[in-house]
Amino acid sequence: MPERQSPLTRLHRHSLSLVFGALFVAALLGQSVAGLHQLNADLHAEGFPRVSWAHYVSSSDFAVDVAENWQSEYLQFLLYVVLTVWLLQRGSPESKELGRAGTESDEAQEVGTHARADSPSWARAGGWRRAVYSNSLGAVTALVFLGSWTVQAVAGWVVLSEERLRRLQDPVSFGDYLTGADFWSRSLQNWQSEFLAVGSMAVFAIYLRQRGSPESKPVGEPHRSTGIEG
Amino acid sequence: MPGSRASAADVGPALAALALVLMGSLVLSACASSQQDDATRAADGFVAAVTDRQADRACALLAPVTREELERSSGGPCAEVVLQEAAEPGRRLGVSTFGDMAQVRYAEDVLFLSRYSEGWRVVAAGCVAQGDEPYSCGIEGR
Repeated sequence: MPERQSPLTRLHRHSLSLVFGALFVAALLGQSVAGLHQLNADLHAEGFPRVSWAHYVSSSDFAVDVAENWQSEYLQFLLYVVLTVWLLQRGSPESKELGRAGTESDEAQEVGTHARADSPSWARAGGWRRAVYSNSLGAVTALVFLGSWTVQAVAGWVVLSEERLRRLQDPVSFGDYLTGADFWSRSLQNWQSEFLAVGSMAVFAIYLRQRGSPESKPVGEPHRSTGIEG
Repeated sequence: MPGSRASAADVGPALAALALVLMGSLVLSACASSQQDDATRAADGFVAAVTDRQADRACALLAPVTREELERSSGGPCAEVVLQEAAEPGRRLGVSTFGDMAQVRYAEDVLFLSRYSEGWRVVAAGCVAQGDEPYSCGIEGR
């Protein structure tokens, strides 16, 4: 007979996604308010009318500020998910154990005839279904990265051209925008922080501990242990 | 049997998401086209007022900050000076709309417009290109 869970237990078992979902909504709302005030200060200084919150959150100004952060986060996830298949870091819980680089055997990955009774159906399947499912995490993060980078590009082009028109300059073409400083400055300033975060975490976790966290090795685990999580 | 064909339940959500994205794109395209039409109408209205020597109508289509600057720099009411500063622009060549700003290019003139609560208004007129520098305009708000 299935175990009956209290509502509190059910909530706790999904607390990670619930808490981060709530933090995301709160931060996005806060960003929309702060961004609105910043834009209106600029518009007022240039003699243009202020805009409402509803106008701002449906504008390219808001879209580019959101999208440039999303694309870098999902690029970080994409590179982290894919590169950790082959790249190793001795002593880090962020790395696989030394000697396990690569996509590993079907037995280790529990696919095909090695699948368990409760494995996902496409892990038991053969052919293209297993291939698709085996790369689904990287594929989806890649799609979200490419989609949000595209939104950043289009919205950033609109914002830059709008700013140029306010200064009585010609707008730029989309092609010129993609090869221009604004697009690459926005992209690279986000990428450098993401790459620094992943790299530094991989190294910090060799020597530092956070008791109880799956992102840390157990407190008493030696520094040289690789691929061990707490 | 393992590897059975994907059911409608597997592909339905993906198709629904694709349909939503396509619909969203169509809505955004329609909105962008509508904005461009509104900006063009305002620019053409200003041009027609100048051509017809309708000073009051031309002033009503100026942005408030532009009208104030015109009156401040000329020392007289807008209706007495606007036709002196504005010239007949010729045939309309093209329109660019980005966010709340628009640029309407004519054979002999370039107009810059901004969207206000009461509609599109001319921010600058009688503009001449200066390379990548800001246009030099006979009528502008700064």
